[in-house]
Amino acid sequence: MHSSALAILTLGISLVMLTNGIDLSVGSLVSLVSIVTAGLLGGKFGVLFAIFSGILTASFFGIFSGIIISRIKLPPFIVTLGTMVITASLALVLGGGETLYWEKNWFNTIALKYFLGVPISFWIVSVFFYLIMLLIHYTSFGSYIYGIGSNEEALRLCGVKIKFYKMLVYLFSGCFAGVAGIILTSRIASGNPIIGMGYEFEAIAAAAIGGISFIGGKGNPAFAFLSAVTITMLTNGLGLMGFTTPWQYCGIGAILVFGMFLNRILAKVSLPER
Amino acid sequence: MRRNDILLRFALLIILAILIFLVNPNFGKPANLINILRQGALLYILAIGMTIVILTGGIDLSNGAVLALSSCVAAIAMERGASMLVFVIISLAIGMICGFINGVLVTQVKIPPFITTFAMMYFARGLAYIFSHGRIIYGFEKSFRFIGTGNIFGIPMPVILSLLLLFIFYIVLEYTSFGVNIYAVGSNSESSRLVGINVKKVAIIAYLLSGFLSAFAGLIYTARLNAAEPVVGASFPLDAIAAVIIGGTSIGGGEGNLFGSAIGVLICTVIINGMNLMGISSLWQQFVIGSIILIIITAQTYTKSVKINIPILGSRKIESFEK
Repeated sequence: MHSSALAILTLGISLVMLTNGIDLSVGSLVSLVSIVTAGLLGGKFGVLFAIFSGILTASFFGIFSGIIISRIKLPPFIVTLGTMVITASLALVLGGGETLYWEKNWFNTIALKYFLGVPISFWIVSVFFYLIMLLIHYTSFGSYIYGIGSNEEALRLCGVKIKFYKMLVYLFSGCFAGVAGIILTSRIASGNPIIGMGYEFEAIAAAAIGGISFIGGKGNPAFAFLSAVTITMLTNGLGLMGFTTPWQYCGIGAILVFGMFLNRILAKVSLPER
Repeated sequence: MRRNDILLRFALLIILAILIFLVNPNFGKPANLINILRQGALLYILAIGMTIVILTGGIDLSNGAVLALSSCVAAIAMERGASMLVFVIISLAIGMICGFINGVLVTQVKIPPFITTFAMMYFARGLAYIFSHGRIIYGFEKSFRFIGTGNIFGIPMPVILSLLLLFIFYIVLEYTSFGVNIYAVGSNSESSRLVGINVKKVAIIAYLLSGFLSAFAGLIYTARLNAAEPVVGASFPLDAIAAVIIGGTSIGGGEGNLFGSAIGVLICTVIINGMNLMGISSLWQQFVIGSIILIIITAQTYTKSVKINIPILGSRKIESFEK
């Protein structure tokens, strides 16, 4: 259950990283979505409307970065760093820097309910995961994003609309940040302006450990998704084994380095898939 | 980095300063200007290390945590009765060890810099909590505190130290073969290797310097607060990266310089100071800095009329010839 938010963020990030980009803004988008959704719920708007607006806000900023990156051709790192600090600040400004609450309704229980022994939130994330897998394996979208990552110029000369597809991956990333934000907001039953802090780095690390290359074009989002779940399980396990927070920090550091080291060895042993 | 890039940033800094001065004349008072320099000094020392690492095509997310770890461990040594000199040496040594480990992991084990330093951030932060048991260690000698709180001819010590570092590292980067190697490795690691530059050594030294400078900033920070605490510096990596990027250093490596970073740090500090003077809520600060990043990079692209199509994050060149 803890892994749902990180897993879907990782899924979005891994799409972006396949096109040789990066999205640093997802963590702050989660915070912004949390504030927007909680604010609308507090203002007596309908639950569906609040969820919809939350996801729409995140998608808007995703497409905003996407347009700047693909049209003005600025480095993704810098652009998304810009949107990251802008949205982090917006989340604080809109919520007045405070935690927002609303009257209890069925939205509070989405993240807490189970279906067939698995949390609802994980079902939702799995549906998105399945859709993205279909998209990657059975449509031209999949080949194009791998193509943009490995040789953008060649693909452009083939007549593929590079700009459109680049924009699309940032839209996906933003939209998934929206979903993660909704899940987290529902779980803590309040709107928190700094809830997403640090998620962007965790998601990027999870994607990298899942074998997504930093230079794009290599890796499988499914492994990234799995590694996000695994990392959450490991850190959760460290906590259950009685390690205190400082030791957990050291553990996460060690897991990250060890995971990447394992990747290096595996890459030497077997041939890369794509 | 071209001269007009620096001029563009300098012009922006002047315009910002004049605008803030017109709105609130208190901005121009000598006390406030010195205050800005003092606030910027600490960030600038971190930004020097970040600039060097980014020039080689890497990135260092661990500087805030390394700062916390080095100052905490050294403070504990001081508590156990170590002298001031030992305290300083321990602190700098820990910074250099962390930087060295980063460098080795990046170059020898070939883990992307982003992940390596992110892991180091967790690791160093965890160790800082473990060693200090989460408490604040305080009560430093007066002679040590001078480097954080003292003045010489009315200029605060942190400012003097950061100018000194700017001077030293400017000479290192511009006039030594090591400096040229850093630019070479950042712009094309493969051809640098072929002309006989020890690429790995250069990168390791860059991370080592970043660790050293983080620890050095830690000393100043500790001296100023008269306390060492494990929680300090969570936002430092991003602040430093933002300042370096505003200063015009290319995130792909090989382009940029320390003067640019100095202007970048000043722009950030002036904005924050100005907004505080105008009584604008501190919640807006990040918003403005984010907008400045986007605006200045866009402006730079157009003034250059050359496309920036550098992708991201180090190791690009290193990995591309392994295929």
